[in-house]
Amino acid sequence: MEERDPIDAELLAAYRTGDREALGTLVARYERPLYGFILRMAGNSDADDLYQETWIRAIRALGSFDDRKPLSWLFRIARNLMVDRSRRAHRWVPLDNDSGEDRWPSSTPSPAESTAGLDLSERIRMAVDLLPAEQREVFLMRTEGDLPFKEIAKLQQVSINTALARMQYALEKLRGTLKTVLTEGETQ
Amino acid sequence: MTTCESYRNLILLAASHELNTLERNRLGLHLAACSDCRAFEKDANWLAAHAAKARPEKPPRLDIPQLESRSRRLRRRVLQLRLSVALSAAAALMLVVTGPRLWVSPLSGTSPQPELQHLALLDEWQFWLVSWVAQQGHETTPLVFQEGWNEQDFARHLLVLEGLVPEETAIVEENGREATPGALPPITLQGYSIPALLRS
Repeated sequence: MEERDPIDAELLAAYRTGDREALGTLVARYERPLYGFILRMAGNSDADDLYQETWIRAIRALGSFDDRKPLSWLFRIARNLMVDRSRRAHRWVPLDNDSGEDRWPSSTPSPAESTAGLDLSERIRMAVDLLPAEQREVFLMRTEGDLPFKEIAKLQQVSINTALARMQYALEKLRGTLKTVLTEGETQ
Repeated sequence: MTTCESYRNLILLAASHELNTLERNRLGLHLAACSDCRAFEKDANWLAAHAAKARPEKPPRLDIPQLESRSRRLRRRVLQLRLSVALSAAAALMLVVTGPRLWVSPLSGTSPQPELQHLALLDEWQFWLVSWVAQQGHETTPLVFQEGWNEQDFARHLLVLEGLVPEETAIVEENGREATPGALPPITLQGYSIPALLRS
């Protein structure tokens, strides 16, 4: 997905000459991974608004559109927007906080217990939502955006080893939470 | 010694096509011998594949013309903001350059410290006038600002002090209030004509 895609450049050129549909096609191409990333990072209440705002900013900055790394470019806009908003709302939890703290309150049932009984997609979604922000972000950039770790590290402004460590932590937690699912998958 | 943790980094990098041949070979040899890392690789691949399938519902439908219009408004706002920041920076620079010679002294006598107050206390319009006068290369006389003056009063006073306008032209008495005749030089200050400003 991060390969050079001349189609994007063509769409952009067409849009610049007044073809509004070209922009619609470009939006449709990246809507799902971008929305998935925003939804999982910001939560249901803010996701739609942030998603729309991301595109507004993207359209404003189309001059700097990087057609070799379109999703990386869009994720960066979305990430900056989420950081700005969280700061303004004084509820910013730094994404570079590497405490590795679990978001799961100790008094509630364990993730494995709580995800039991849900369908597979929901169990995975819920388990991902429970990851600490910086680990969730790496996991989503990798799985939703198919971004390489080199790019993820740049976006998070950390070393590639830190990005890889975050992914390892995320995977270990998901393996723990989804243990039964993974075992079932093995037996099938 | 290379640990399983570092081989797991290689497993992740292999999935994102970021390994060279040598690293791929090293990883292959390790995987052949390490069942824990094989299990990690298998689970990591399974999770990546299923997480992508577990994507949320379709995103909200976007109205492209509306997005474009909001984007244009945002662009204008950003440009205005940048312009005002640039202008403020230029004015601040002017203040730094001419600041030591520009002071304001309240004449009311009610202030506990009636001597000198710094120019930074000036309102925006006063600030611009002072900056503009300094830009013209005139000697900036210490300013005397009287409480209760409006911007016309201040502008006239400043222009007279700087010798840009003869006193009799700039200040006349009219029903006990200062007023300005129209015969002032056509000077533009940040889009405002000084005579127009004085007449307004």
